[in-house]
Amino acid sequence: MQANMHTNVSYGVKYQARCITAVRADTHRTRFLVGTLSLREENEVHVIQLSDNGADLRCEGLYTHQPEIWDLASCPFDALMISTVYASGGEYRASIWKIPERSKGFNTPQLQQIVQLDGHKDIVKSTLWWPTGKHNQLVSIDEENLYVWALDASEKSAKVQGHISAGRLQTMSAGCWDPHDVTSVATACGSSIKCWDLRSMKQANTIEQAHAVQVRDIDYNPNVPDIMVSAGDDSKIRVWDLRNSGMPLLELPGHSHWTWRVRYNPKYQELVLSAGTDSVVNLWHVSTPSSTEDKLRSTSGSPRSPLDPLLRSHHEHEDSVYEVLQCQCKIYIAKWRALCLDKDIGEIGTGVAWSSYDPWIFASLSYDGRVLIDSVPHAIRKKLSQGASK
Amino acid sequence: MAEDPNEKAKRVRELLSSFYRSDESDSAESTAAATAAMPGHTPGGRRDTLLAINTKDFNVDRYMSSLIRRTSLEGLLKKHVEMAAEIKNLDSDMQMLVYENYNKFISATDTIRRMKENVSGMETNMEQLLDKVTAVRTTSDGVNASLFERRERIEELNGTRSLLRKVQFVFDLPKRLRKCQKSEAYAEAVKYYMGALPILKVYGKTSFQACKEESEEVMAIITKRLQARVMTDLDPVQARAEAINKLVEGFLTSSLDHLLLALQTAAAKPKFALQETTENSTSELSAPHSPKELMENLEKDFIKDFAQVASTFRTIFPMGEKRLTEATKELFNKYFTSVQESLQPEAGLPSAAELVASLKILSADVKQMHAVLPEAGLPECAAKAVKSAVKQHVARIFSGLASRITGAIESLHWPTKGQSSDVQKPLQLALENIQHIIMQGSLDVLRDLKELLDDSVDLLVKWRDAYVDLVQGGFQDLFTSLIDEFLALPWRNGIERSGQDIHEKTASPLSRNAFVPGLMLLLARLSVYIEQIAVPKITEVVAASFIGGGAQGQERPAFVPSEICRAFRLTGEKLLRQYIELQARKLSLLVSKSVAAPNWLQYKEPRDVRMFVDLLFEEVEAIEAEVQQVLEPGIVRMHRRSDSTGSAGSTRSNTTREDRNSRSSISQRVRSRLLERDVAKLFKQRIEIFTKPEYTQVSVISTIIKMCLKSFQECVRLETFNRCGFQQIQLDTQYLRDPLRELVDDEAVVDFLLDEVSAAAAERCLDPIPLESAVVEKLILAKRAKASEFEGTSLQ
Repeated sequence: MQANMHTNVSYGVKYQARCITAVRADTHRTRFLVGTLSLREENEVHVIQLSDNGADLRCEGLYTHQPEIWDLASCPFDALMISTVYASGGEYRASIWKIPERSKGFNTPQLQQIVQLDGHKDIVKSTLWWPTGKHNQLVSIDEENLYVWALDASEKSAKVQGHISAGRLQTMSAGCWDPHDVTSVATACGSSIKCWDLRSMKQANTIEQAHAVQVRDIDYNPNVPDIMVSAGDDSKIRVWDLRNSGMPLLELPGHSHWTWRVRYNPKYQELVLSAGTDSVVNLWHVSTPSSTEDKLRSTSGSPRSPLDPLLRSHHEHEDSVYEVLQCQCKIYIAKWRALCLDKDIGEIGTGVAWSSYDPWIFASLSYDGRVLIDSVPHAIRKKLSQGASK
Repeated sequence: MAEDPNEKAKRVRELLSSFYRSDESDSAESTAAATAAMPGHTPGGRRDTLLAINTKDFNVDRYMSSLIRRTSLEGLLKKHVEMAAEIKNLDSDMQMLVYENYNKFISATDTIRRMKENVSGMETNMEQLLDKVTAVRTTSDGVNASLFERRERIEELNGTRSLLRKVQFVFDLPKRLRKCQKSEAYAEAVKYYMGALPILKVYGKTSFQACKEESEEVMAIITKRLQARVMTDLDPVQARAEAINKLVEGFLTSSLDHLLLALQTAAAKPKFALQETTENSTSELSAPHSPKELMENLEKDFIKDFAQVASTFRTIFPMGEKRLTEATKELFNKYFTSVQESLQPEAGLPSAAELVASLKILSADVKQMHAVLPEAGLPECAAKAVKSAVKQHVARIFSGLASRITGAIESLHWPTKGQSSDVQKPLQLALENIQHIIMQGSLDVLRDLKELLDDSVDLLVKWRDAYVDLVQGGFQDLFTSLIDEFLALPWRNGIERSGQDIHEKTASPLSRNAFVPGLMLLLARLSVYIEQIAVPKITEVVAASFIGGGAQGQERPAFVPSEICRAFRLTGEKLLRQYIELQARKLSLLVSKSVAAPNWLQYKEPRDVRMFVDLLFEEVEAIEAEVQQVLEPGIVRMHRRSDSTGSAGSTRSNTTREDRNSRSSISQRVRSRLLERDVAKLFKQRIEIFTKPEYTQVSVISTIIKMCLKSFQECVRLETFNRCGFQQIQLDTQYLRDPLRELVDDEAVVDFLLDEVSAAAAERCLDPIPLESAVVEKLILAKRAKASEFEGTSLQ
């Protein structure tokens, strides 16, 4: 409906920023949270909202959050509850915050701290909320440990329910709670991916050497259990079947430098969005991995024979195909460049988030604080919707 | 107890008998009889009544009563069931019997009725027949009686006459035979002898004994002579044929098969010749006959003999054609296999010239044989044999070439270990070597195969197009398999490497794995070579000599150079990209370790450029050494040193840096620091960091360095620095700047990226006050001096 308008919507945060998240509990509006990362200034959390016609992005609230924000997660059941990972003076912490009701004052209001998740000694990486619905459990990850918390928001307390130590020299960088099995959390652990069982607090599954170097991000397939996508510093994007973790189901060329984020579309599992340090956001079409048929299909092009192994290793045939996608990105970068007076390449995509309201919209945030809203092109939407209805 | 039931039974019986009055007397009688039979033993009698159910004088009442009296209720029930079943059985049996009888009865009536109908009309016919038969009989009797006398006489006379004639013939036989023998009229002789043979057989031992012996003697002589004639090859064929013919007629007992056998042994002679020659060729492997010689031998020994035998056979047995064809076919199968064997020398690449020569002989031979035996379909067989021989030849030539190339590539795995000192540039040597192999090998192959085409042998002419297709297809296959090989080779090693990561193997495979990136680069370069030089050249040659093709109705030619070129271009690009990725990853790892390791928040004041820089340069140098061996230098986009001397360049870069630093320190106080930065960026040249690599030294190295510096920036962004930490990064980047500028194709990129690194460090610094430029300069100079000194000592 408002797709055409989406392509050029942007918003600027005045500091550098690494994290953007959609407000998951708010299903009526397309709202995002952005946390800034400024070492020496007072940091902020911006609540921004996409107007109903999709034409512009407004700031709906601005809250002070003193230390620099390294990670931001919104509570899936309470639109006013968020968790952040922050650093001050070289120490990393994680806290749960409440956004105060009255947000439009003259002074920027403070976020109300509900509880701080104490106990981390290493660099905290992220917090994970219970994947669906209301539940008091929460996971926080630092470089070597994983804590499970039981949160009591009214009592303003959080108790450690479980603790997993991944061991020394296992730099964990990201995690993802399995939406199909809430007792399992996967973490990117060095160059491998590890799944942890929250009941036994033991390692349940592992993908060794998932990437040649550090794994940067992982995401579970929202529709099919045991399928996971990962991205790493070798710039590749790989799709895995956890039941058969020897070889990836699929490998996408990723980016020209590190691939930092990779996200499934919450509704259409064929769509995967990635962001890298090469300032590019890529939208991938990943065919439904029915585990054996790991065929890769283009976003708009012809379906290819899954039997041809060459097509998987070379991407010459896809050149044109990816062109469509890159073209879009280019257009969108070009527009964005126009905004920056055609000079800056900046760094898009240290954070990428799908909107929770409209599955076709996605936002990206670059390190220099620019939020960009884009949407999936019409042709692809049509195709996917048809595919889904079939 | 016993009496009571008795009385009771009696009373019941009385009651019953009063009711069934008519039965009374019977039962009384039977009881009387029973008691009479067994006097004084009423119970015994009763027992009998129980058993007497099948007897004639069975009494129901008594049976019942005794049953009731003597068996318990349970027994009664059982008995009841039993009896009911029995009754049912009897009923059904009876029914069956009745039904069967009835059936028989019906069929019997049917038969009787039919008989009655048939018989009724017969009487009159029979009477007529009888009349006629008697009439015939009387007539025949009359004739017989009248002729009897005369006939007997005639028969007698006739028998005597024939007997006399036979006797005459037999007596004359020896004489006649002798006459024939003298006049060499063997045919007549055989005929006579044949005529007399039955009589001689019967009476040979009695009256005609002498006669028989005599004639046999003569026949033996004749036979001997005939056989002698057959065996002597000198006789004209006609004579031999005659002889055999006579033999056949003479000894019909010895069948045609027998003779065929003789003929086959005669034919086997060439077979032996054949085997001999092949044995020769195998036994003299050390100095093998050329196929041509072998063919000549074959021709001499085998084909002449065969032609002779075949024509002889034909004249002898005009009817035996089929057998001959069969035998010939079998023979020729052997012949062709031996021909094929001779066309496949075990070692070395056969040259087409020899193949052509032998094929020529073969075609001549086959023509000759075909003239003799048109039915055997020899040309088809020969064509088949030639086709397969040529196919094998082509396939072998191509596989030989392919294995040479892959062998050359694979031999590259090993040499660096031992001879790395004396072989300075293994990659370069290998590159030249393999290029030579590919080009020269392909051209040789083409030249060789062309000979086959030029010397157009008769047999080959028919499928010239198919041959052209074959050659073109050979090239297509060669190149596609090469692509596969290229892509698989580094990967295979990669697998080894990952396996080794797990097993922690010893150092020897490690050194080989250090070679993997180099191999990748080499293969990438080779792909370019094939794409740009080898394939066009080959296409040219192919186009010149192998025109046509497409005989098999394919819509496209077998060799598609454009497709091959495209595939190789892609392969090359992929390999190059992999190479760059691999090397950049190595450097990035180095850099990121160097950034992640120290505690930047408690960093001490920088005294020296950190060690990782040296390591970085070492790695870059190694890469450069590799790249230099394989790739062209490439064009440097900017003038490196022409417009500025070293010191001037460094000062200039210093000033720009200072500008930026001062700007950033000012902007610290200003809220819109980011805007400031953006504005600053506006005036800078926009830098393309991630460009597509080209096949030049500079391009590859630049790409690697750019990737590495980008990683550096990203790593720095993840840290938080104190002032000294920031200054250290500043110092490191400054030290890196000049040497790196030397290496890349576009200095601006290096400047930009290094500025980015130090800007990132400034952003992530709690207190970003840069070092004085003089201090930086001094430290750098000190480091340079130390480095060159080290280099000097290492060189000495």
